[in-house]
Amino acid sequence: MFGVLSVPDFALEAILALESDLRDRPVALMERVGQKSRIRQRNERARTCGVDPGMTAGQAKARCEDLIFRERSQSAEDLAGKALFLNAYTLSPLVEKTAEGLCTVDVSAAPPVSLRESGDKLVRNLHRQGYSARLGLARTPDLAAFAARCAEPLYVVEDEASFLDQLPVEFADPPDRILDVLDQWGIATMGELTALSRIEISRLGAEGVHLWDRAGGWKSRLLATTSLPREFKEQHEFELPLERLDPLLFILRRLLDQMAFQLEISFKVAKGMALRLDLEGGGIHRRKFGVPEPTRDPELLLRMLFTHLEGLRTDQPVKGVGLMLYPREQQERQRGLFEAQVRDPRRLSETVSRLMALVGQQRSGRALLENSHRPESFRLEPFGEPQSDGLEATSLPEVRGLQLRRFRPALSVAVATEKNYGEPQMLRAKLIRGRVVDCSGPWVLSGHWWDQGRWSREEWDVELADGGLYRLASIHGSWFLEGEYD
Amino acid sequence: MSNEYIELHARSAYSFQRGGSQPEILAETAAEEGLEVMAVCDRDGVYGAPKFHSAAREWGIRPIVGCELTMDDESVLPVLVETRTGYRNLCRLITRAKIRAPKGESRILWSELRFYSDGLVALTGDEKGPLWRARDRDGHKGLKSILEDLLEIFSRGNVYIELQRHRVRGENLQLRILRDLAQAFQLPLLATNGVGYATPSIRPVVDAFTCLRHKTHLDEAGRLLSINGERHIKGPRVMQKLFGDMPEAVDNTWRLGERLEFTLEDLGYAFPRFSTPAGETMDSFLWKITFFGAEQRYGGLTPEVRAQLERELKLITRLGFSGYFLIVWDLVNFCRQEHIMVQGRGSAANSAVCYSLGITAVDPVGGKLLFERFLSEGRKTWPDIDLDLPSGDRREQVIQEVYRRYGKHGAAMTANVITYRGRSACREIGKVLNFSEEMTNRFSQLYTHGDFPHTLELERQLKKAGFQPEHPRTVALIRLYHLILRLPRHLGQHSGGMIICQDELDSVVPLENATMPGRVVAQWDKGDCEDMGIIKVDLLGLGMMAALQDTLELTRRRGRPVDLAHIPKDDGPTFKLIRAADTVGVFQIESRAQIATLPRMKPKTFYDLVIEVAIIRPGPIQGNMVHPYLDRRAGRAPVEYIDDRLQPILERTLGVPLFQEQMLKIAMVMADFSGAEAEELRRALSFHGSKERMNRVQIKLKKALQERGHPPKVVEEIVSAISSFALYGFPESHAISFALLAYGSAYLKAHRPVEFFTALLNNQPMGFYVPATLIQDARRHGLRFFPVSVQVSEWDCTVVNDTCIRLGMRMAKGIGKENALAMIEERNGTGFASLADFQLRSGFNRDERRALASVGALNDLAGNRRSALWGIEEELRADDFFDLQLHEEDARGPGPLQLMNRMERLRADYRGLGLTTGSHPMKFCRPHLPDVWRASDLDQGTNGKLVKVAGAVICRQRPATAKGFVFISLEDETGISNVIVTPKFFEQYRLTIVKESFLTITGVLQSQEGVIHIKAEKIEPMARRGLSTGDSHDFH
Repeated sequence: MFGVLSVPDFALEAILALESDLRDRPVALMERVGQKSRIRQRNERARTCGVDPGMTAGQAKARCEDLIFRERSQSAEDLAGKALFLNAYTLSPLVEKTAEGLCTVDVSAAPPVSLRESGDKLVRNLHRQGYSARLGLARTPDLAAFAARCAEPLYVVEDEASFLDQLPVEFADPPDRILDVLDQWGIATMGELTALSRIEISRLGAEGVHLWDRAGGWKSRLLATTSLPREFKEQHEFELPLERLDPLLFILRRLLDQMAFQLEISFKVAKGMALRLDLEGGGIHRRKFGVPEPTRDPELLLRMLFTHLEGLRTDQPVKGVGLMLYPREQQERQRGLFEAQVRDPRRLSETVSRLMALVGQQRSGRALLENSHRPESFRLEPFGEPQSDGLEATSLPEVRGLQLRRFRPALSVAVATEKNYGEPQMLRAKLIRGRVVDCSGPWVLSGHWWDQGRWSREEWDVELADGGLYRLASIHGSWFLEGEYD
Repeated sequence: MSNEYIELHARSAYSFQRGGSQPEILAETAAEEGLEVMAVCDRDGVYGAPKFHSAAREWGIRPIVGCELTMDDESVLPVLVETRTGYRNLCRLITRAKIRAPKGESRILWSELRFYSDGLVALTGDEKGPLWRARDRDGHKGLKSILEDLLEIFSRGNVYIELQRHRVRGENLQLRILRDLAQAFQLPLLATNGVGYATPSIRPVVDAFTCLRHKTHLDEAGRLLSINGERHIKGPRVMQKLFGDMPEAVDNTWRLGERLEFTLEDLGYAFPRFSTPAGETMDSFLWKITFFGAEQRYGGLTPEVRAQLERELKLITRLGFSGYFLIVWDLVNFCRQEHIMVQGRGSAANSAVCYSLGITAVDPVGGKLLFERFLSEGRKTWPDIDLDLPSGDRREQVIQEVYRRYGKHGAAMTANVITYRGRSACREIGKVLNFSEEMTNRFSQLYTHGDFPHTLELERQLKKAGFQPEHPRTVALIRLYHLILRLPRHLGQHSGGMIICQDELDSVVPLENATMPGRVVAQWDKGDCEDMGIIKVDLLGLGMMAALQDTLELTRRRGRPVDLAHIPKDDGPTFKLIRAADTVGVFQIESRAQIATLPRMKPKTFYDLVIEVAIIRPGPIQGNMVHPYLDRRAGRAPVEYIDDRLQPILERTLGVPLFQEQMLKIAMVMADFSGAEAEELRRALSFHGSKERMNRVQIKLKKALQERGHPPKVVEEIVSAISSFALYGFPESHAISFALLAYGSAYLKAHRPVEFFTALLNNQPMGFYVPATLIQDARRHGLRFFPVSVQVSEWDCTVVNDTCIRLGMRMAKGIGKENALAMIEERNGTGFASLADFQLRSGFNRDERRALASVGALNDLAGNRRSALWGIEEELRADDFFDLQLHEEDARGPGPLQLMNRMERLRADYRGLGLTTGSHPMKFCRPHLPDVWRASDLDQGTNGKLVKVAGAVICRQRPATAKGFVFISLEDETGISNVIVTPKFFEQYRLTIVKESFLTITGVLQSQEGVIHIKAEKIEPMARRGLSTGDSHDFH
């Protein structure tokens, strides 16, 4: 006996599980086919509006103005695929990842009655997680797969012949070429297909014969089973970068639930946790957490993350998140005489997070020069990240000359300028003041005109009457002394 | 010239993604900044030179020609043209590099430069120039050696050290190095600003282009982008201040400028000489053959004809155009010898000489056509003779003949500059701004049928596609879109314009490879060539010419030939067909707008048809001439004239000006303009002219009219009529040429429909309708179509008898011509005895066999489509006799598959042929549509009645002149119903209209003078599964 656990329209379901507010709205998943993007899957609401797979966005919008488009999300599919696998594993350890959104389980050893019960339970469990899963049970893997496609949400095949007769031939997943021929032949059901003899169908080649065998449900096969993953690692990329904490916590909770489930069926607990936030500008925020009291309670692990994230401010929105748990065997703790014990592990994690919050996320990490004309523009990368590529050499020769000692921060300065050309004539800062006896410039720089990051500045090199040489910058009408030349 | 700074290094947008401003804008800005001279040095070409030349002249600036040459070491060497020899050298140099490189690339060899350096002045360029490249490569030694090379190639006095200052820290050090080099080599310094755009506000365009060139986006481009916006045009004062420490660099600009004497006025173009028989000059020979031809065509010369010919010939001789007429005459003779149908169109039809030479088919004397529209005293440009040829191989034969006669470097197609516009521009800008591809794709898909800014501005289009309007990048997108709009993107080739030259054409304009093999294209477009006085011959392909020629050939082969030259001009059935707007497939008068006008116009004579052709044009529509004419024609309005003197001019068109010739005559009569002045007025008001020029001639016309004492109302009426009309109006002669084709095709449709529809199908794509619509129309005319059959069909469709057409193999999708012809040859030897025999001998692969079987092309061998589909799947081996026997027995049996039902056959037909020879799909739906009117029943409806129509969308149209109204044609099994959609309604149902192939439309029936429209009130997709339709004709 075999069971097939499947999630129809898997790629779309994977996304909807993470965006549950879209469930009641028409949604379509787009996929690129050749030069054009076309609809690959759509939910029930979209289907009732007349949206069908294969349509272009325009055609679909013509039928359904409120249609929401989504693109495939590999991370959402990974998460959903794993959820499916872990749940299938609760039926039997002989699980095959047969296809995208489809697991086949060898349940030969289980009694049929308990199978129905546990099957029912796992389908409900998946529903709770947001996946509309179906389970088919039958004598062969192929039959079980067909049954899963008919299941609402559970189907056990008893009378095989009548079950197969009216099934659409597409259920047997024929290659497009074969499907095309069958369409031209006027063959739409498996019954019509198997009405032809095996010899007759052999004119379609090995693929045709294979299809005929599948449609008859005659053949069984060995499963290529997969064992439980050893790593406890999840990640997710957001379709739109996040700027608020709530949606991030929602996803973290989903990840933790799944990992906790994995820990549970692996009989393990987490002794540590690593968080990684991918930021939009390319930056990465990393943070490791020790779990002083190993656990698989997702609530507890989430609170540790929440405490840290609450005080975290990032320069850029978050475009992706990764989470890893360090597992250890579940064991009864034996307190040794000299074993250092954390009295309250939750408080410890919170304290570390608060310390980080105090120092400031923006002030820790490694400074890397940006590839920009903007002087001294840089970004921070967390320590330990692999070093980015160096900047391309500019075509201008390197500027040689006097060394500049920079004032950090630059000094605000009042400057009197010449009327016509705006050359500085006099300047007055807190400690530096005087008449300008010579100057060169302005050196004009500007960039990033295409959004709110736009900047512009003019720089002058000035010599004061006392012999001091300074770099002066005018930024949006304000003057700054940026440094002094040696 | 005052001793001030002039700009000698500027790139226009014709540097293709390397410059941000149109040449005209550069000229205008230069004038505003007080520059007296400016050189445009586009990259690897002189693409923008004519436009800059014309604009600069208008703004009082002396335009200098230059070019940035990409060298084989990737350095970029700017050169300026000093003399005509220099210009010829530059053109030849670029041509050599372009012709040997892949399209769009060019690399000049340092080794060849020395042979073409005469008359050119070299600058050392900017950071991409040879100096810094050499230094980067070989250090300071490299600087010395490259300067020695430049001096050797260009010689002393012709090499300048170029200095640019863009207010970038560190550049002073570079300038010091350059100054030291200049001193060491005793070379002059030259200040330039290396202009990349007219004003600082255009800098984003250059940054965007940089991204496109490097296939990156703004977030990634980093230091590839410009450091500031200083590469704009700067006036003398600013540049003098900027180079205050090196005044000689500024002084040298005007010194050099004085030396650079060459401008495009000194192009040195000469049209090829025609080799005449011994003892004849070109002039005398033209006189001789003209009068000889006139005798033939007129059958004896009346004094009027003789006088006209003499007047024309005298003018042609005086202007030196005899050679041109002889060459075109010779080309027309070539076509006749090769049995290629040819007809001159356009203003050439105003010439009795052209008529006598057989170039045109219209008698201008009899038609009282205005010769001045074609040629007049004092005219600066060459006359324009356009030849219509059958499209396809026959036109290509003529084009290749021109190349053969004048050589690869002696003739070229004119360029067609492809510009940034519409959704493709938006898509590229979206990429530059790092919008996701999905987002830009979505925008493109939502607006697949072009942009309609007159009803929905870009901002709203973007919003509808999901771009947040307040997002800074959306703002940047819109800004960039408007900046980039209409800038040149790349060079294509014009559909038919060819230019030829007495000597090598590549010394007049650089030539390069076209994408099409065997074609060479010039760097200038049609307008540029015209402005530069280069003569062009338009060899235009007309699908209808090909169809007509094929029809006539078919009538000849069937033993009842038709000669279009001798058909009656007042044929009753032909005019009946035209008046009934039964004109699907007829040249010009088949469009929806024409069909809607014919029942109101009710043409009775050939000249009515001429007016019909001309009236449905943007000019008369925009000038509000259509309704007054139709009202006067129907007697609803009196025939009036703005002035009594206009009566002889406008009598034929009931006092309403419809033709360009009438406009010219009005200007001549009312404002005393000479023929040349009137023609200049027309040209200035045409779309090639600049606003400035347009304003000037309007003022001149107004002044002339006022001076002659016309009342202000008359002045206003005339100026407004001429201005709105000159833009798009048809020349009367052109309308007559087109009307000849329209009448000819209508005659053939009325009298020889079987040959006519066969020829139409064999020349697709052409005209307004797809084959599916043509076949449905033919069926309504009693014709029957036999399906494609491998046993009978030829490659082309063929005539079976007076009422039947056999579809050719060309109609089957997925069947290549070569394979089909091979199969036909095999069949013609010994016919196919069985399906197995066909499989073994036809040479078709399985996919092709499947395509043929599904459309019933194998029914003659297998009995029905399913048997054929079943049989062809079996792979056979010729040497396996036993297998073959079995297969043949098998094929004779009924086969295990069910026969196709009607809907299945219909679906297979549309899928495999794009049409059906059977009933229209709507016939099958009819039982499910009890409340839907058939197209043929609409004439029984009363005006104002609410009706519902449904059908396959065969045409969606949104003419620019219709103020946003959309016209939809729905086809059902009985005919075509026409629907009008208001702009507001269109925006509401845009996607349904644009995307759905079958529509149900409810609306109010409007019946006016036999023209029936439905004004849409509700539009729904029919969304009936399994329905199929061919393609529609969209938004023309």
